[in-house]
Amino acid sequence: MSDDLGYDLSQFKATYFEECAELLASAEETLSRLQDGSGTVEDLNAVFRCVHSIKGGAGAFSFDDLVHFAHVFETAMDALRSGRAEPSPQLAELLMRGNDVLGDFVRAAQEGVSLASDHGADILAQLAAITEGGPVAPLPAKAVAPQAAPAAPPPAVASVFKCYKIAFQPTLAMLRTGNDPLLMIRELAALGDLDVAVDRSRMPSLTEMDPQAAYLSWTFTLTTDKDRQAIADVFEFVDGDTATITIEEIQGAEEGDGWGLFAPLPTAAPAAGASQAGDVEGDGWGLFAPQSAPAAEQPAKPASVPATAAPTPAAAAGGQVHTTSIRVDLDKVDRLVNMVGELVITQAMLGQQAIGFSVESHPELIQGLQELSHHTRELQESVMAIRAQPVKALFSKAPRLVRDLSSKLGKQARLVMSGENTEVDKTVIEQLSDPLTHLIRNALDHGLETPEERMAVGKPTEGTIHLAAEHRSGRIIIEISDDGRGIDRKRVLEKAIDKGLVERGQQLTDEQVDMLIFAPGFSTASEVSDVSGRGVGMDVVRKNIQDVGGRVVVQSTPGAGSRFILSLPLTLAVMDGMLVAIGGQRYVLPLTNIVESLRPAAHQARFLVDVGDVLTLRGEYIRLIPLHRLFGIGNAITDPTRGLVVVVETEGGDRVGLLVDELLGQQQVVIKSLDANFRPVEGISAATILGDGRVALILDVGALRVMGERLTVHDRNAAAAE
Amino acid sequence: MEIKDNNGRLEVELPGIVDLIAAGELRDLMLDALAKDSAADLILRGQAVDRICTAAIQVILAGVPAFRTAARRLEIEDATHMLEASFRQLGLGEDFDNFLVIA
Repeated sequence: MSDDLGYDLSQFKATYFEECAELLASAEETLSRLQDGSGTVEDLNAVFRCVHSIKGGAGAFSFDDLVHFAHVFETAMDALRSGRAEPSPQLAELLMRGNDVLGDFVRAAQEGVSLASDHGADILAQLAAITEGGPVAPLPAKAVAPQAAPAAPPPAVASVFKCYKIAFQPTLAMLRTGNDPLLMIRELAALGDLDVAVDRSRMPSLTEMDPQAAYLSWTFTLTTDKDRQAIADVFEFVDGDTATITIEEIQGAEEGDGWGLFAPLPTAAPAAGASQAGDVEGDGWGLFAPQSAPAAEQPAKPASVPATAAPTPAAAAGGQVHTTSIRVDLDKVDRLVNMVGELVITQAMLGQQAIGFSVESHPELIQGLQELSHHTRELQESVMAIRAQPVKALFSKAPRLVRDLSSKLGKQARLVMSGENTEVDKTVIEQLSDPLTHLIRNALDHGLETPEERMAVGKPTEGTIHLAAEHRSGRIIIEISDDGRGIDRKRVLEKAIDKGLVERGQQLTDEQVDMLIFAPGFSTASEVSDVSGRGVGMDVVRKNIQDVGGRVVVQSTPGAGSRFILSLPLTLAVMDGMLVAIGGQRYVLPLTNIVESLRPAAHQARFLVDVGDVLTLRGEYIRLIPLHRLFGIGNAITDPTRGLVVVVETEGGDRVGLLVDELLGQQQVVIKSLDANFRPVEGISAATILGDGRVALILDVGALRVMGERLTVHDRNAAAAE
Repeated sequence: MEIKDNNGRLEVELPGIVDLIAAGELRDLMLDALAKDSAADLILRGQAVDRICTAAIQVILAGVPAFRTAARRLEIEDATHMLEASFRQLGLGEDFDNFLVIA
């Protein structure tokens, strides 16, 4: 297969390099485990397979340098997994460095450039020495963090398949919320082999039953290679709200217990057997895989496998090889996303046209529009799911970053990660990479104390950095927290005054002082170390996050640590919004921000000195923000007791009341970037096209809160001047 | 949806989408059929069903013993694959096989 034969290899090469990127990332993640001593023999096998796959493809494209390095690397991996080389921290570091060099060769091949002839020669020599059973010499340049030697790899290989018992009991009200167990069960069945046991003990008689109540409940046994989070995600919108879900991992899916499909590789596989396993893997980077394998090579699935709720066609075909994923160009997905966006607008337009029709006069039209709305939403969610990726790709770089930096800074740090499988739009993930790296660097450099300092204040010498991701209220929340010294507010304030960011004597809350670190110009290159200062100040971190419709909030406790909370939209394309009217203008409020709306009574709307207009709600004072004043809109209702107050919550948990004329209704809106099509406007996050073709601006609740505070200060100063 | 008398059989044609609202209608129709001074079985004709919700399946499930108590039968005829699959996915395959389908 070559260009000489008339094939256009560019498409295949692009696919190969995409796969290489994934394999390198996967290898790095696995090597991290080996480095911290938690790796298993299967991890060694996994790295071997990654390297072998890269080599296999490189050979097909005649990337000779890459093939040569990968071959030596692979041989060293084979020596290690077959017991011919002893694992050690130095060896783990060498493998990590080998992976870096392998990445260099891949990038060089991708960019069509040649690396220096001695590039990676020292690593290559050491890898070759391992094969001969030689010791690993200390590595130059990068210091290795002192750590205990990893335990010998456990003899048994951890299973990739797990068995879960899931109890799912909907409340009676669940069906009325639009959630149907049937859809969730289908989603669950897509995760693996599902056995369904239904409990009908709550079923009443036909005469007694409420046809819209949920009476059935279920217990599922799911055998899957997915983790608990993937299962929890299926019930994300009902768990704890309209259903009770318990997920329990049970025994029964250990490898070798009858499946046969994923028989463990021998822990001390002879070299010949190892390369045989590798050969299969090496051919499997997607392009040249056979459509079907000989039946003899496919171990039969024993009869004891639980019955599936929805058998796949491939399973029914009996042992036929089937692929579970396809590789699709991102542009194609984006075109699909855009088309769905247009469809959402068209559907809104049709809905607008039908406003004058009643169900009685045009039942089929109304039903048809309802169906269209339902299908459009389902289509939109399905398309968005295609772009969604687990943040694991983002988090996987963190362990090494923490290890390398803590070693360099002479600090002891432990990284705890959770929620790695939380999914978010690919673009959001790409935009998050730099800010996240910077925040972790920042936490290590400025947050965590040295072991001596920690000991002096009675803390364990090892600090902890927690990296967590979760879905919350239709957004993804990523938290980077540390148990370090916290923000030194006095120093921050002094610095801010020196730089003219704050006037001397100005009263700021703790939160406002903390947020000063994000102010443009707060950080300067001369004041940040080479660790956290790479030309990316905290203001750039905030800007990157804001660019994708996100927000960053910091919470800090002196002496106890800091917590950076990144709140990001799950998708950049479509959102649920509430259309509000202000003086004839229409704006969209993100539904996820809205807590409640009300028309306050006269005694609820008050004026407080230094705060301005407030709403008293259940004993709480909520600042009122007159949107008509912020945006200079005439003919709007200015009296809160005549208009409506929409109480919204920002990511930091603050509540403010937005004064609007009326609520026009809830609808799904397609987000059109204001930055790309016009220019950034404070208080506005994006725009959308409404059903009648008019443009409506989407309000940025966090920015409105800041604008509201500024307005109060302005009013106060104006009053003082008078 | 409505009940039709077809040569002594009571029949209800299930719509393409049997949603939450249709579940309520279906229950009312079943109660109407049970209230009729008749020994006729009720046949739910399912050849048009593209989608059915859990609520409607619960109604059908509750209907089976109600008709049995009246010495009558509730059956599904010409079920689409989707209709049958929905029962099975909910873990009600046996109910579908034993009580509902006309051979």
